[in-house]
Amino acid sequence: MSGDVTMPAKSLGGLSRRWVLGAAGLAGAALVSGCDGQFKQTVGTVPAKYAKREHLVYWHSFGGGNLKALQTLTDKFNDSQQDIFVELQFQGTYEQAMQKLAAAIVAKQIPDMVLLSEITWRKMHLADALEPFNDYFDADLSPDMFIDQFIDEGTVQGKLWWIPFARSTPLFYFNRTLFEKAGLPSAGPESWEDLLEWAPAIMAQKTKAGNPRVLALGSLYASWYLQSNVWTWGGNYSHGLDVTFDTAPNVAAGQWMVEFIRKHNAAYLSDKMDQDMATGLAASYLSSTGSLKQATTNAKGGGYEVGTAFLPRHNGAFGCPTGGSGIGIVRYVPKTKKQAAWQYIKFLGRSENSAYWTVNTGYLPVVKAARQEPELIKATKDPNYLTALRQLPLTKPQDLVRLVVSGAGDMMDQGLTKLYSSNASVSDVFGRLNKQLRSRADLIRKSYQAHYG
Amino acid sequence: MRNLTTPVKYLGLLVVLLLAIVPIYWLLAASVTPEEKIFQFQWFPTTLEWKNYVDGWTSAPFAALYRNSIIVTLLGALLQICVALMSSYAFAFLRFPAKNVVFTVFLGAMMVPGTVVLMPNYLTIAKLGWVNTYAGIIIPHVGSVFAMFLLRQHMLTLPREVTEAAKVDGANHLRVLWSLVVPMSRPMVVTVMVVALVEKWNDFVWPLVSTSTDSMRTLPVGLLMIKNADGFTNWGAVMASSVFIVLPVLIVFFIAQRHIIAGLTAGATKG
Repeated sequence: MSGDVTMPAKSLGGLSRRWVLGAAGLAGAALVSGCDGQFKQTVGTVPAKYAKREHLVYWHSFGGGNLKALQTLTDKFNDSQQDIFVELQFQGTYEQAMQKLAAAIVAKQIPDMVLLSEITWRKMHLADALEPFNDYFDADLSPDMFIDQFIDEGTVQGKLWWIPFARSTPLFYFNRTLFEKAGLPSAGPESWEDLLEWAPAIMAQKTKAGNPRVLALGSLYASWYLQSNVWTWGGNYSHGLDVTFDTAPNVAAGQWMVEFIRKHNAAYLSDKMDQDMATGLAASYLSSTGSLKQATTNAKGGGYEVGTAFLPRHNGAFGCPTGGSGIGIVRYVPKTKKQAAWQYIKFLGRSENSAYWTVNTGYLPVVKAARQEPELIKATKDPNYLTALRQLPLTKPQDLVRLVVSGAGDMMDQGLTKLYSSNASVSDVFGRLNKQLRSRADLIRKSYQAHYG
Repeated sequence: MRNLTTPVKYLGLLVVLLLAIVPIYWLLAASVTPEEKIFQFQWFPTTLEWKNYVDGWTSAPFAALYRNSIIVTLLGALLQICVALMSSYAFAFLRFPAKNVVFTVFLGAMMVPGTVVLMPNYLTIAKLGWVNTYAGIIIPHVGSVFAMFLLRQHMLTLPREVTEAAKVDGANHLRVLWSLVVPMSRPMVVTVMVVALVEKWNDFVWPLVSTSTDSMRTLPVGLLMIKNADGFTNWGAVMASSVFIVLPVLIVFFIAQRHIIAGLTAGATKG
């Protein structure tokens, strides 16, 4: 076995070994640095029966049941006409997909459409990577057919860059059975003050895990949920790019939550909020509207009824941020592909398809007419589902700093996690965050001013 | 004294056994738990939900995922060990200019985190047209400084007389490497091989970035496709799919157990 490994250097045809190695290295370097300057489509596969069509690649971040629903809609689109084939390519989380898009643009091998979150589309817009949609609208699909605040959120300087698709807002989930046993209204709390007043009654109840706490707070997206508190206390994370994180109303909102945690022992930082309610550790939590199916399934296993309510108010004021994702078309794609992509977006924007997507995923309807679709009307027989739809008109986009400044959301989540889980003072944490966010905001100020005016 | 320590030893063994077994048991138990019971604490599932396995299998193209993972893991580990063997041989036995400088640079490269080279690697394979190919997944990680370093350190401990005697007998470098150095370094080669196999099998970020279509994805990427970032996740199916991923590794481990343990310990006891 070992005897046949004999290849003396001479067999390389008289050339010295070093020369060959050097030449190979140079050739490799030349290959790598050789740019042809033309954008082309990233790799994909087209089934034989769609071979002659315009091939579109759509990068998305859906898994599980959401992916199944999107695949069903996309198959339906592909079979509904003879000219276009849309290929779905899963690219990990929204952040991973954005990073890959950035790399793909540098490598000039790009997808045609990308699913971007409320945060990642802003980055791609600042990087001039998106195509504005204004000129594509026609009688079949016009901006006013979409729910207004979703279109507003995707619009900068009069141009629409981001088509709403899988949109969500936070919602208040609670263990209704437990609330009723404690003699509290089964509709849930109206305000944070209600919740504080009810805390002793809730925590006196017995569950499988002992006495529950009132509210489980998450670490992931903590700043998405706290946006609501900050607004209702009269504050803002920022005005445009001017960070106002350490202003008095924000600190007051943070202080209320901190006292709810530390003084009243009613809330706590949880690793898995929905799981904690299922096991009886918590009586309520804040989560995305898309989590209703999970909450209902958990409730079935735990033998209780789940309830949903608007986010709690404070002094009568209400605030609820939007979240989720939408579709962007990559600017560098040839005109014909952009037109084809628009046909696909138009298909997704039909009321029956929007309703199908909503019913099968739990995301909010993005098209107004979807709310009249029989499929959706049937689903809203569940009053919990209706809560999200009723809350929708009262929602608005988050303060810009969390959306535009790179890493802002993570930074804020980390600060809030520390606040929820230690004895740090609110003014310290918010003051430091304010400074960090400001210096990060300065990095993009020029580009921001160029794009947002 | 001996009578007293034996029960203590067994108790210790039992604790370690439980620590190792419980997570695996949990995985298996959760994989047959119905979706609504998944967050209810129970040591033994009351009903067995085998549908989770069907759901898991159908929510991602597992046949293709398996094929790709096996190809990428085997080929990747094999190439990596070949490169590591040859380069470590060069550093241990050959004389060439600036050897120590080159070696130091290599060691420095070991300190660079993988995320830093992700983008350059992607651009390189994109220019080569290797996106979504096996070459694209495998080639950028063929050179492992860590493997080279481990093997070199071991090769330096081998007696020089043996290799010099072989040279006198007319053996060239490849012959010395293959017939003498590799057999004498077997424990270390096995160790490096195991590390490489586990690393490739579990690698997530690079296969995610370097491939695009379902037909080229590997198992860890497939697992992500079953989970949902927000919204509903069928945890039973996720657990069942995790079993698909763990199973081959477990089987390989049970078959090769003796060699792996021998490989990990032989180096320590051999003088």
